[in-house]
Amino acid sequence: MEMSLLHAGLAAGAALAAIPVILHLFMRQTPKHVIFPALQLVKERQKKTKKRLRVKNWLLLLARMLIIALMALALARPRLYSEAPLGDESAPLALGLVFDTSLSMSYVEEDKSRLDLAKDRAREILAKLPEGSQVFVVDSSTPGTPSGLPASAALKIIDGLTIQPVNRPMNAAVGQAYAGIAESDRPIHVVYVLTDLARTSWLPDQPAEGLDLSRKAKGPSSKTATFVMSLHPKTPKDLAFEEVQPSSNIATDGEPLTIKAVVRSQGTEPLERTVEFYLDDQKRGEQQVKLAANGQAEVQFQTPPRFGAGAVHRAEFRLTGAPDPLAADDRIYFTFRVRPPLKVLLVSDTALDAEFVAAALDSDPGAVTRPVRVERTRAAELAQQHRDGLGGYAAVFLLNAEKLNDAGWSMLAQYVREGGGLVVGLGNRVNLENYNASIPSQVLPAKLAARILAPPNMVMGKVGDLTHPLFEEYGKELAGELALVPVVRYWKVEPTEGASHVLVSYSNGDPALLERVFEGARSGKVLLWTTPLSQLPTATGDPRQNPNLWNLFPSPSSGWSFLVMMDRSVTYLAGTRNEPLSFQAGESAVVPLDPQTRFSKFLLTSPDGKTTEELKPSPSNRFIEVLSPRGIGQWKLTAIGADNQTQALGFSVNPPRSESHLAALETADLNVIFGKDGYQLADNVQTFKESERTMRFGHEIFPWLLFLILLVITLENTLSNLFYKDASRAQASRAA
Amino acid sequence: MAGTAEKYLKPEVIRQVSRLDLRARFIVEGFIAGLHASPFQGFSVEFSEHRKYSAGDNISDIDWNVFAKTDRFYVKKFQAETNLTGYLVMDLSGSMGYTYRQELTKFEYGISLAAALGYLMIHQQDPVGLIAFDKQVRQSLAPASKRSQLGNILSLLARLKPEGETDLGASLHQVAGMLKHRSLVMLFSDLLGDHESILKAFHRLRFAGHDLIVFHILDEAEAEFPFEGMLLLEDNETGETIEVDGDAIRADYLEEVSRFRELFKGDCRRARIDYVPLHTGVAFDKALMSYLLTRQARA
Repeated sequence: MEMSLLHAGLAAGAALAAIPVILHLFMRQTPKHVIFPALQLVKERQKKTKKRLRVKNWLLLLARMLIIALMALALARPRLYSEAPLGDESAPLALGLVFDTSLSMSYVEEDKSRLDLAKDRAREILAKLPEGSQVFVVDSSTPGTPSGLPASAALKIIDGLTIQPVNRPMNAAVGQAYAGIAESDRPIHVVYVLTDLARTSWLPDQPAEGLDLSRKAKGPSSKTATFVMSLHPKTPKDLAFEEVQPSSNIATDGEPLTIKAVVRSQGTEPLERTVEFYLDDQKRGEQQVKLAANGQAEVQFQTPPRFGAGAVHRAEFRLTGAPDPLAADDRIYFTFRVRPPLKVLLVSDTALDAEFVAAALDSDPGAVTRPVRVERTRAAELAQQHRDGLGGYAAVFLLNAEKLNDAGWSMLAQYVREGGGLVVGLGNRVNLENYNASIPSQVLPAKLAARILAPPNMVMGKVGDLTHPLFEEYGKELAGELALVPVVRYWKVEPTEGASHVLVSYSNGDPALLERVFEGARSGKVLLWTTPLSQLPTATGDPRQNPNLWNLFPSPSSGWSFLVMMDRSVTYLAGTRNEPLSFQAGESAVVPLDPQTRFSKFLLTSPDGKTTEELKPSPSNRFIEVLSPRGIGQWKLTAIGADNQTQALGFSVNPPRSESHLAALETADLNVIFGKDGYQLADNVQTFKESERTMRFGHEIFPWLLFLILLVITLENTLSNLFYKDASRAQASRAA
Repeated sequence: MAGTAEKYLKPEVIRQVSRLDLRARFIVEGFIAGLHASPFQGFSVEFSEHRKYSAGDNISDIDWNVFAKTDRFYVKKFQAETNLTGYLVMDLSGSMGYTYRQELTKFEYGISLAAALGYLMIHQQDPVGLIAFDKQVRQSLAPASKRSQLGNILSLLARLKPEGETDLGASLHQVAGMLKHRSLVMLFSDLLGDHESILKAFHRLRFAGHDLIVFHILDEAEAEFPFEGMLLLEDNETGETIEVDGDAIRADYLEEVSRFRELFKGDCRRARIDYVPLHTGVAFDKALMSYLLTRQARA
């Protein structure tokens, strides 16, 4: 709090407070001489009351001095400032205008969006800007320190501001403004923050950036005054798609895809609306939803089973039925690919070693729809037969192969480093030295130690992490099934430290299934089973005496766990779940490419079709990355091959989910962001103008001073009455 | 002298007092003997006169010799039974000569009271004497019930001038020594002196069997303290001065006056002394009437 005086000269009048003292000391009244025989009575009493009288007299003197001093002070018209005073209206300003351009600012109330209102306020401020002022316009979507502009240029920028799907926290935007005006030499520094105060646009627990800059500005004004204009709707109402949940990000040709969407209502009234489902811009269905106040509902649609394999498709949900103040979150987009069956390569020395896996993945090779197509090759011929690499396979299974040559291991190593998926099933044929050689060591999650005869009644026991994608669905049930699988023999292994983790272990604690992940644009993964994924024919008798019997995992007698684990392994390794084509605004979009097709360039078209950008392919040719696409909706990506053949790709960008949450910042949050006395908050035009006036001229304390003077006069009167009028009263009562 | 006497014997006062049927109504112990038997019966053996017996008289007072001669009942009356010696005791201190309004001084106010009471007593044929003192007894006049006695008292009082210091206690002790018979002592003073010695003197008078009425006379200014602003107060007896703020000390002073009077009032009540607080702003006739009526009612 700082104080200033409008008429400082008049404050000198406070010196007049000395008058009562002077009168008291130098202008003492000459006493009247009175003969008074009853002097002894006066003397008696005066002894007792002399001290009291002196205190009373000084009190009165003090009260009278205070009255004079307060009157002089009141005439000087003092003002209190909680922030840097803005002074008169003619001094040039360094003015920061910080606009919140997040999606929540598109909320419409009384036919105006929050951003429109913000622009109106800004125009009003600019209209009365003194000559020579500098304006620093900042919006929450554009980084960088702004430069000072004249009002007319600033006005053009403000007119061009639009809602942006991607914004930085307002704390950072305010910091930009502070940084900009801190360098200005204008005498007065002011920042206006025009925002709906939506919590999600701010970091409520962090101070605004550059707050220290605002407190040591250049020029005569030592601080930067901050006004926060709240444009938050009075009673926020909104219907929004909370999220879209597909059964898979990639549909397999021949199988329908189920897509769920969650609709959430914000407001105090129950609502009934229609959700429409569009597929490739064609309406494919609609559902009615009933929403309780602040409630949510779920809708679900299915794509047709046969639906243009190999192409990218666009799904869209729309909320209709009545206008919504915040329209930006009334649509949600989802892009998915329908791709042909996954190709899986099974590598083994004998046909039998691959038989069980082949049967589990591709049980009917003659069928029309085959989600997985299995190919087989002998281990010794791997490198020879696949000289072009293994890029075309969704997964490669190495099943009980005795050994691979260096070329074979190198091929596998390259495959997983480029994002491929390898499943290794150990067994009786495996050569320890070959698997522990340097190249395989770079691929496998563990080193082989020894073949082990399991203790009696050992089973494939515990699942290490039920949140792992392999166990995401029905994980507990699957773990239960695995616990029934008897294991007689297995390879004891030493996991590669820091590079692998155990997914399933035997009941004695030794690893049964390990994973090693190779990070990259697409993550390559290696799954190592320490017991075979096949079952050799065995003689009846004691299984422990039979060296061919390792486990009963593939056996139908052990339940359904083998089938599920093989199927999940392929979809997991093929990246089916990890390759979404729908993103939130602000995220980078990574679109996977067909590794077998070489593309020379890509054309990226924004959802509104207005802009098209050319992109270069990545060296691996396995994906194309689009950095933070800004438009909301369906983006089209056209891949052009060397022979000018084109392939239609695409992805969706949805509004940030947080933009639908309209809860406003509390005063305590603003105190954290700007400091307790570091800002003036106004939530309508009137209070905005008042707070601006207060900031400019301070709090007029004249009325309070007058009130204080009145109090002191009353006190003085009361004291003097108390001291001097008692006698009169006593006299009156005697007379009566 | 007659003029002086008239000055104090204001006709309207005399008229007022005369209207009272004193014989019938002022049956006041030791003040004016009425038609009833005196409480001081047997105090003196000096025969005074015969009177017809009336119901209520003590039959032992019947003069049987007279009955033998006249066949009628007469009772004997004695001197002390019918008359009470009264002494008007005047304080002659300088403070008694004070008047703020320049009208009646406390002394003159006391003389007026004394004149009225003297008149009453002489009218009742009771002897009245006068004693005036300052540091000691200055003047005295032997009691007499002659008509001329009032004139003598007043002319003596008119010659006296209150001035100088006083010693109330010592003077009253001296007065006590002078009184031979049980008397009615009427003291007119402002009692500005040492309270303890004054009180001792009062007690001495009471122990000697005298009846005492204290007329405590203050000036109106002393009772009301009408002063404002800064004052230099001077004691006209001692010349001592003190500077005070009149407005500031008024309340305290009045409280002190009240306490001063209450102190004497309490002491006097305990010693069965009549205490009559007065100030010169109160018409003395009304004050006297009020006192006499109170005393009558008490009887």
